Amino acid sequence: MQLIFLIVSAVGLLSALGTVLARNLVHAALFLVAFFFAVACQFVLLEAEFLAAIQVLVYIGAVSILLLFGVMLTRNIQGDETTSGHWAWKLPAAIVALGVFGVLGSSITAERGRPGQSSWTGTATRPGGVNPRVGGPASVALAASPTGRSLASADLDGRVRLWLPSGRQDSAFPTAGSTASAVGFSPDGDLVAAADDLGRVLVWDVLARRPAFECLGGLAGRIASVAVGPRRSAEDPADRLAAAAGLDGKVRLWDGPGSEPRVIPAHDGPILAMSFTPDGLLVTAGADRVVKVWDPSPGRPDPGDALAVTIATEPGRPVAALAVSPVPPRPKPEQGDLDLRPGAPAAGAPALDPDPDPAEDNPGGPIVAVASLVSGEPGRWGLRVLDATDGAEVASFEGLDGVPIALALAPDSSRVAALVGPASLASASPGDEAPAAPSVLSWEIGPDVEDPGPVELPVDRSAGVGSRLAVGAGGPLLAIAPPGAPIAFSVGESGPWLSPRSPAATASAVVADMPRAVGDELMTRYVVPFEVAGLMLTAAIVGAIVLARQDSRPASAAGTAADPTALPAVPPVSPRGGDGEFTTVSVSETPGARPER
Amino acid sequence: MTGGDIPLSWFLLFASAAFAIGLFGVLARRNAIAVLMAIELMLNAANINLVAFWRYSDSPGPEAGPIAGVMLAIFVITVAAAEVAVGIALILLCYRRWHAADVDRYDSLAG
Amino acid sequence: MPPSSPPPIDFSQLWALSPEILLTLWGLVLLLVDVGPLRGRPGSSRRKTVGSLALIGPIGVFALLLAPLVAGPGAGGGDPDPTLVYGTIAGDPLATSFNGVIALLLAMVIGMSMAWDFTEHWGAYFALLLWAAVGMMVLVAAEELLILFLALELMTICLYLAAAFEKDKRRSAEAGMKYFVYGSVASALFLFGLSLLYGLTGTTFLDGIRRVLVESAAATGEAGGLSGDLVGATAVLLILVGFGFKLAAVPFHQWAPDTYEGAPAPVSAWIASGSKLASLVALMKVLLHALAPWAGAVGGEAGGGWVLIVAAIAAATMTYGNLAALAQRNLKRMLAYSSIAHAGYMLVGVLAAMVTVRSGSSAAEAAGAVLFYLVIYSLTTVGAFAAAAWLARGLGRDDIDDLDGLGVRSPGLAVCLAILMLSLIGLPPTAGFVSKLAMFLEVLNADASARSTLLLLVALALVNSVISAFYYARVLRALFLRRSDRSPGPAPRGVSWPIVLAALAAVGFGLEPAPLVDSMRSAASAMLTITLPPSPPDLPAPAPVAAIPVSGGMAMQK
Repeated sequence: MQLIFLIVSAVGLLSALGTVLARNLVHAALFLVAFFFAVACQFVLLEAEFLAAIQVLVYIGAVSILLLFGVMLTRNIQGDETTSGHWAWKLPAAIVALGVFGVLGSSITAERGRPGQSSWTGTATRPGGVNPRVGGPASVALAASPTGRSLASADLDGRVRLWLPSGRQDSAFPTAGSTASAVGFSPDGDLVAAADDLGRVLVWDVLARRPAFECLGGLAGRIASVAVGPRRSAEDPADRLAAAAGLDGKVRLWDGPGSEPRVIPAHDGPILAMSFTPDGLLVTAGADRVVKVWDPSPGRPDPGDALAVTIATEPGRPVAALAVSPVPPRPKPEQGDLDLRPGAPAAGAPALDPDPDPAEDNPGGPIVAVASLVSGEPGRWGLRVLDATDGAEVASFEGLDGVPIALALAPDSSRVAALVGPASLASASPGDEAPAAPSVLSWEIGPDVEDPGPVELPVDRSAGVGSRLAVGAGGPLLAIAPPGAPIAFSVGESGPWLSPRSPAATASAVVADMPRAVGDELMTRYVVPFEVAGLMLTAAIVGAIVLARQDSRPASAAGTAADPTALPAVPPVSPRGGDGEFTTVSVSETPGARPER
Repeated sequence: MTGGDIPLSWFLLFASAAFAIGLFGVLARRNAIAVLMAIELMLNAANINLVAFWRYSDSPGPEAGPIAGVMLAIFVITVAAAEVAVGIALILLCYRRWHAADVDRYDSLAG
Repeated sequence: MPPSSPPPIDFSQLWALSPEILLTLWGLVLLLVDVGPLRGRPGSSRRKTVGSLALIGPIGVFALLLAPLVAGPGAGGGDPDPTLVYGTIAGDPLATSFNGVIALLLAMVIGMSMAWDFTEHWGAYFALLLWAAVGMMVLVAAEELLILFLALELMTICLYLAAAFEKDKRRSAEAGMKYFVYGSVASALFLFGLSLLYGLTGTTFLDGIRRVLVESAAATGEAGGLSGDLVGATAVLLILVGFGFKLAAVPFHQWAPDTYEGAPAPVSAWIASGSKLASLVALMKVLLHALAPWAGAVGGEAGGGWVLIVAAIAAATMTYGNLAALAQRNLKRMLAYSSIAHAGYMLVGVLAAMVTVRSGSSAAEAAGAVLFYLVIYSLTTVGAFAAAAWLARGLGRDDIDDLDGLGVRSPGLAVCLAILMLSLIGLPPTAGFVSKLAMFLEVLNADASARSTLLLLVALALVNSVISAFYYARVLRALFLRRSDRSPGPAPRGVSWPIVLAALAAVGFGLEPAPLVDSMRSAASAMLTITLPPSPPDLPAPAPVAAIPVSGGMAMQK
């Protein structure tokens, strides 16, 4: 691709130079055709093939022909040598042009992008890729913000997107040439982090919509969970811990940006869920059915020692899915108190906090939700919510109607949700009839919940194995990311599922059907420009025709007899008309001078 | 070929170079048709900018529609065609009166 | 229809665009009448017939504008959202009142055009005048950069062609050619700036650009301005070049004297009044609304912005225009330099409006004063060009000396012309004085930090006004103090009524400026407060998935 671009650009720029430097205007016009063609190739590289077709038709087909006509009709008299200027003219012109190019070039290469925009120089994958599937990129990871204001998804097109609870895309952060496999918020919701397949942890500022920092040197790929710690100093918002947990059972901890990761062998199997608590502890849950709480601060002499180890389920009860929430469940907030920031540290928004010290009323720490087989019995799955510090059971829901595929806890521990598929999805035997549709079950948890639920929401059949689930804090928001399909939201208590069309998805849809999209746009949003441009063309053609005819026939009314000297400019009326016209009548008369007569 | 590994700035640099060359042509050439060609270079440069920005933008302006850059480019092509028609008509008109196509030969008005 | 499509057009909104539609269609009618029923008739009779028909266009616009008033309030619908057609076009008081002003100017220009036979192609000529008016109306109403650019192109393309319409005169073709070359280079520069701005903000809507710039300034925690923002500065500079050309501001003014002198007087009048009026309104919309976050500081220690560029342009423009005008003999050329000088004054007003916009105290007043000045300038300058049309009809040329002795032969019109000149100088009791005073007094409301710089500019403008008195006085001297044996003859009706009307406006609004000032203030406040519809059709979703055929998407199953 780069090579094609370079070749096309070189051809284009050389022919542009030829256009302005060629002494012979016919050659210049031919160079111009080559330039137009190079621009059409650029449009193809930019996936605007329809525009490339228009470019060829209008520019090469019409504009160049018109220009060539102009050259043919005017170049008989003037020798080619006078068509290019003097060096005294060219030098300042060249200086000006080089200056403009210098300013533009340096400013473009220096442009780091605006908030919410990628750098102009980064080799980011273009949104949607090359002629992507209609429907938009699929998400591989989801996370809900503790603030309840947004939801993050790591998408296959190399973007981390933030979504508003309404399902609108808030911003998109490019991961600069890689694909993220995990995404997570900081406990205060200010930062969102993603771990990509180059071993990096990229962190963005949610409010400012720009990169905050990045950590290098982690495990390349196979990262299942990523987390950013709470803010540690008042001055530097980027002074935080970052952690990435992979399928190799190790946690990599970065002590702020630019540091080397510390590797903590945490679990015997893949780590499936991880989160920082507001007071800076790290909770990990692995497929080895163990939940551990760590103090990750660098001052600790031996970071390998877990503060608390909890066995989530008894041996022999396989774990299907795990989820971690950084805070204990708490009494229901007042109605309309959606702005609650349960994960905020004490400095965070205390005014909104109903009880200043949640640990007093609600002893307990971060909680873990585990979906596992019930007492080893095949086909019967249950869901338990535990306190990660002491293993006390917070809630338990038995008898799931199928296999839990994905599990999610709201970041404020107000709800837990599970994507439950039909049993045959997990242990499908070929002879089975078509499985029933999967569904999402969500329960409310907390000390004062009377009717935990569940609320059942049927989902599309495509939401099978590999789907991701997220539950928003402070509201009944659910989000599901089926494999290979765009993310879907459920905003209300009972659905329906909404599949927002991200701008990238919309763009990819219109790229796939550009002529039709152009037609639609012309008839709707661009109707005023369409009419104005049409009128402009009409005016141009009418005026051009009139000007072309202006001298080609003898003027009738004003009595201007056709001038035999082929100088139609001689004013017939006034002796002084058009000052100085006679001073320059040094034009030689040549047979080719009257092409129109 | 998955995705372009071409950075946005390459397209922009190409456009800037074409723009600068066009500007040079406008300033240095005296033949009106050559000036017209140089103007076409500049308009094309702007078009490449528009389409490249559109293709690389993450969140196209919601109010301008999903293909804003392409629509802008289409209208720019229209404008360019209209300008060339007008320009050729004016050049031929002046040519019939001066028998010259050089801009600085048109000097009946004290410039 | 793909899901990306916005809702279809609301055709009831077309009512607000009826002036534009009327003029477009009427231009076509004129064209057809000229080549159809009138084919073969001599030029002068076609001139009268088509010209009278063309006058129906602006009169129809007035009728359309007055219709809602006659029909009573509420007939047009009290739509709180002033934007039309997806927010691309404004239907606010600004657009309405300027549609009226443009129609008035158009009527005056059509009247002047009927004075003498300078072309054979009357249908096309009047159609181009009408379509240029359409471009101006759309330009004033544009809320989006693409429409703004296209309207600018429509307007200037019509004017390029019309400028070259005078038959048998080399200088007319040259005027069109020079106007075209400079104009199309300027629009190419403008377009490149537009493309950079689109890349920086991701939108072409004026309010969208403003929003993005405000947000990004807030996100980076920097004060507004352009310091360190090279791409933004380049974009602003290129856009200013484009507008500077249309306004004939100084580094980009070279075309103006030649074009004004060479083009037929009505076309020069149309370029000097309508085109300048519409471009300045569009410039104010772009600078004061969309690019306001990039304004920067004038006199403070904060980072620079476009105000510094505009201040430099304004100072250079008014000084150069006035000094160069002193040396002119040709009336139209003198008026060209005078219009350059006036563009400088107006830019000072725009600056004052920007600075007060920022302090928020009197936003509408400052911008309204500029609009008021603009309207008065346009009316008086059209009247002055009508005198040139009169000379061109009677004598075939239009030097200032040709006005000699008119004070004796046509005292009424000479007095009217004298009033116009006084108004252009800015002497009481004319409207030129009141508007200039109002505009410059706004400087006193500026920030304390900016005030000293602006006061300097105003002092320069006052010195320039004094200089300008010398060359306008030469017209007065020619009118009243000189004698001549050559006379342009009695003025035709098409010339006399624009002069009289402009003079009446100059005196009337000079003595009683309140109604126009008030309407311009309301227009300015509408211009500055316009926003996109509160809930833009940003995403067709969230809509129930079942309604959208998405392949591979989620479908609701119940």
